[in-house]
Amino acid sequence: MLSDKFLILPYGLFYLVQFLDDSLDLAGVSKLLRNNGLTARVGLGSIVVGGVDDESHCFSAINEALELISNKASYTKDNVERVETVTVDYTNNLDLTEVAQLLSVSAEEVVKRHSSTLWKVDLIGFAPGFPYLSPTVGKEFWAQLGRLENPRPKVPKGSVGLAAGLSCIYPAEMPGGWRVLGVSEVQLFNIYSDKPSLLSAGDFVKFEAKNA
Amino acid sequence: MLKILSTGLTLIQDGVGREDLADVGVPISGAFDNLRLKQANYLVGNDLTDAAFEHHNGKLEFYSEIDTIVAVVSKGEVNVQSDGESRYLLRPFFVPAYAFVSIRTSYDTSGLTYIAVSGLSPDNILGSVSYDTFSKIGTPIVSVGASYSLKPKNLFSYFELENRFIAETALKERIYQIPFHEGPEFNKLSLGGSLQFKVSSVSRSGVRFDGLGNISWGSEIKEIKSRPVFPGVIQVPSGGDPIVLGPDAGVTGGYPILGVIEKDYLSVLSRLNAGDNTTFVLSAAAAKPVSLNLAQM
Repeated sequence: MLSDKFLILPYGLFYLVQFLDDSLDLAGVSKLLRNNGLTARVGLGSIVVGGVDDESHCFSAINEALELISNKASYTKDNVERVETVTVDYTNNLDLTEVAQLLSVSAEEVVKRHSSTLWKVDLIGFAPGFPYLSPTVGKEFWAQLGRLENPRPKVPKGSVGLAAGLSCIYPAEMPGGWRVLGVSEVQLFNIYSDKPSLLSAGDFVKFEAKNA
Repeated sequence: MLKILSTGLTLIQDGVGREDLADVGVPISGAFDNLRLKQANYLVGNDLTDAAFEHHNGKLEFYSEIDTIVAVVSKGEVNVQSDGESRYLLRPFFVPAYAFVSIRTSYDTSGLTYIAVSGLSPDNILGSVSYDTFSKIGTPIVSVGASYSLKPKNLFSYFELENRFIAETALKERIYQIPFHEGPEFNKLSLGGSLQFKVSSVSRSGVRFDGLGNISWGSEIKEIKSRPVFPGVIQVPSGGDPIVLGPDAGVTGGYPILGVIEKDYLSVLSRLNAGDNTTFVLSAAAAKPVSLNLAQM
């Protein structure tokens, strides 16, 4: 089922809703769906919806949520947009030189742009606490970078990565295919905390160069 | 307390896993063969989804400081002894305090063994005792010298349980047909022949199949952005060899999705061996339940 804003596809006993506009507040849409008793999980540009009777029901639920979000008079976010500042040691990097070459700018310019951009948390996935971050400006600039052809078997905990127009932070030492710009000491996931993941979809991240 | 003397490769799992943490990147985890775990718990009078040992291979040996009841459920060849005497699979057996229990599987025997102990109560982490082999969250892999609480939770005595058993024919079933529901790229994948695949490997992260050249990406498939996935999802990487995600698989994925295995068959997939032949069968459209926890898949 297709509208001008999204496409609904079958996904087992759920539905995958693929959005055609990447500026939509999917975290907000997801929250509205849950408030209406449905289940919803956010992806990059998509939401997996459960608890609907059929495709028409899913279509109506999504449309209703989108209308509510677009009607600013009646919709207000009930949580203040949260910005987490993450300090990064850009001198401790694996790929900054290559990234600069691929982007045809100096390494200093890469650091300046990365740390002056506000990054939005689109999704927490891949590993506990792992954020997929999209830039609020300069999307075309960052989209020039692909992933590594050969992922590394290990990248250090706290590595700040870039790939396919997104940035990320590795919450633990793990295999990694993103290009590493630097390392941070931020604790992204704590199993003993009431809120185990530091970041949630819809939050924002601002990177700050260490000793800047 | 229950004390471990030797371990082989043994995890602790429960039947529920971590239901609500996929949004922060935590896999569901939980027992790979949920049915066998429930059978084992039934035999000892535990709640069906209580914690049990999920034993992969080698020798697990332990003793309890109190009288207890143990049951062992497995698809493979397993040697079970208590205090030096052989015990049957699929039936509970009484274990007096300080009697040694030994469960041994050979290293070349695939498949999982579930060992339920009456009242086993490890500490839970993030709402579950289950150990996730991908993110390494949960009650750690069982190690020599570890000890676990035993809190008998019900009034069953051995005499009330001794007539419980699981019919042995359950061990000998063979899976040839695996029903699944359509996924987002079902109509974009080229299904050259039938949906017959051969099992390549089985692990808690997933079951890998040799596609045998029967499936490939169609021209419509372009780069797919990461989206939520969960146990039972059938992903098809570019080489055409499908993977059915297991309980410890990551919560997002960017491969085309052929479909989703029917829920009960994930337990059954855990019993497949490398080399087994399977056929995936598209299920008739099922009525979608009014409410369904994503984690239940």
